[in-house]
Amino acid sequence: MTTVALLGNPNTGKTTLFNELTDKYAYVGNWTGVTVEKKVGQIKHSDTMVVDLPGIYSLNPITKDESVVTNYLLRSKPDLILNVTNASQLKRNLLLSIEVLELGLPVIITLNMIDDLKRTGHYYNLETLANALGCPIRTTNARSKEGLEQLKSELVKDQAQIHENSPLKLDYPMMVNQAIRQATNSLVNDYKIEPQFAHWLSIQYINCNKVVRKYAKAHDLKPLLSQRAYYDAQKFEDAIFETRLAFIESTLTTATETLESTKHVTITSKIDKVVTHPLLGLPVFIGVFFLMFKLSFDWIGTPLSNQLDALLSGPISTWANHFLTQVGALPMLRSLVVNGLIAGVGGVLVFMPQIFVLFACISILEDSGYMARAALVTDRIMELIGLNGKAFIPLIIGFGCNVTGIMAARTIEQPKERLITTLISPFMSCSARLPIYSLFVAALFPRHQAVIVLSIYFLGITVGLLMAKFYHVLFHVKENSVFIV
Amino acid sequence: MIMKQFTIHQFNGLDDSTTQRLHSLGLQTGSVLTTVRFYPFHGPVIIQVDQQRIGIRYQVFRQLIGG
Repeated sequence: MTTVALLGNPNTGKTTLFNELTDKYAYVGNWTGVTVEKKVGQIKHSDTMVVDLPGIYSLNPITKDESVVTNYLLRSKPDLILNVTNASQLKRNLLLSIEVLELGLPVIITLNMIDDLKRTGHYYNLETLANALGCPIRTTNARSKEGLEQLKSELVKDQAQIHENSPLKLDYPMMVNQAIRQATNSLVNDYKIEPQFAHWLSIQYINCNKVVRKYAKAHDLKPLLSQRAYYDAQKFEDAIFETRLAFIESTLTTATETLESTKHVTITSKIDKVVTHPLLGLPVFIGVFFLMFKLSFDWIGTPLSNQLDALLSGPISTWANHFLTQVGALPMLRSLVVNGLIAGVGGVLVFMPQIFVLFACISILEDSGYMARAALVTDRIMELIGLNGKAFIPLIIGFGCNVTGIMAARTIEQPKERLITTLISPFMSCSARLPIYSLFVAALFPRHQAVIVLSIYFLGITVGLLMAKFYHVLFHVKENSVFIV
Repeated sequence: MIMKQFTIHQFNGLDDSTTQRLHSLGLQTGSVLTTVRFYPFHGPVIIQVDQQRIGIRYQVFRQLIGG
């Protein structure tokens, strides 16, 4: 059985590719230490297993999710790594590819979303790229299924058929190279670590990879630990970064081919202009949410709820009543079914349409990328209470369910900010609170129901924000937040 | 100030995680960035580097262009 690990930057279409390649998959629990689901699938008509790894920018993790990938590479040895890259963002995607290639495992790089690249009027000479990087390069477009069959046939191979890749060796500055060589030699001789793995371990250690440093400490790799101060004082990390970027730039320059340029402004960039507008952004954001509530309460949700209610309390209970009388059920049992089961479960069931519409709206917003824009628009407000715009997304998801909202908070980099976000998350009105709101609104306010519910929601938000400020003072948060979208 | 070009002068004064994330997006000293949008009250700044748009905080932006 062959194991293929899918690895790449966020938003490169990894998951779309994963879904296209595999015909069945399963969540096999969580990755250790984080609440990220581990997804393993099987390629159609074969025994090749595909592991979907979370999207990362570099092997040196900033958030907890990202540490999953480094830990995976440290502990397991996939037979093949499929590095999914976004063809139009190759420069930054290759920074990760280099780190993976240095590991020396067989790698296939696929330039995904190749259509977007062609649209910009550029193309890469695949042979030049393959020669420079020392691994096969393929192009795919997961959305239109272009190039998938070929890629699949290359993944479905026995272990013996996969060629070994020799690890990529970049020309680091002499001092760095020497340090790497020394560390590698002592790791191989004293600790019996495979040369390739030792080489990669040394580079990553010198490059201040937090996970690798922890790994070295746990395994007591003295050759690395003893040199730590020297590596950091010499700023080898910067030297490594500059060498890599210079390598990528020269490779891409030689590989770039110009196509006939096509000019057109896509509709998405027009939408982008409005939703991220400095002044309009916030009203648009409130508008989007008002529309969402209007949809779930006034236009779709409530009418459906009413119909469902009419159906349950009308025909269904009368019918059940008749049926039970006819079969001669005990009056007690009849009362249990009609007044207990149907009325009781029905009482909860009538809120399903509203919850359903709200959930649908939230997931559409999330998948369309609007949430990332909303994070940008709201960052300034969030900064006032000491959080960043990213904290906004978990809070919004908290409207669907606080539990998933708290889980989404893991993308926030600083532990204290993460804690505050989780603590104020319960102030966001989750959908389970909706029936109660609906009840109050229905009982107390005959008109303008959507506006009333909206204001209850905003009251929750305001209290949450005040609490955040309070926690901020309580925990003495000083560090600045990392905010890059 | 919209659509103006700046050159990144330095990464000093930024915390490690911010520097690292900007590095992994392909930004380095000497990179040319174009500002796309400024949010009011010194809110975030959208910059464009290598056809990618990145939102950063105003303070980070000031540091990068060395002001």
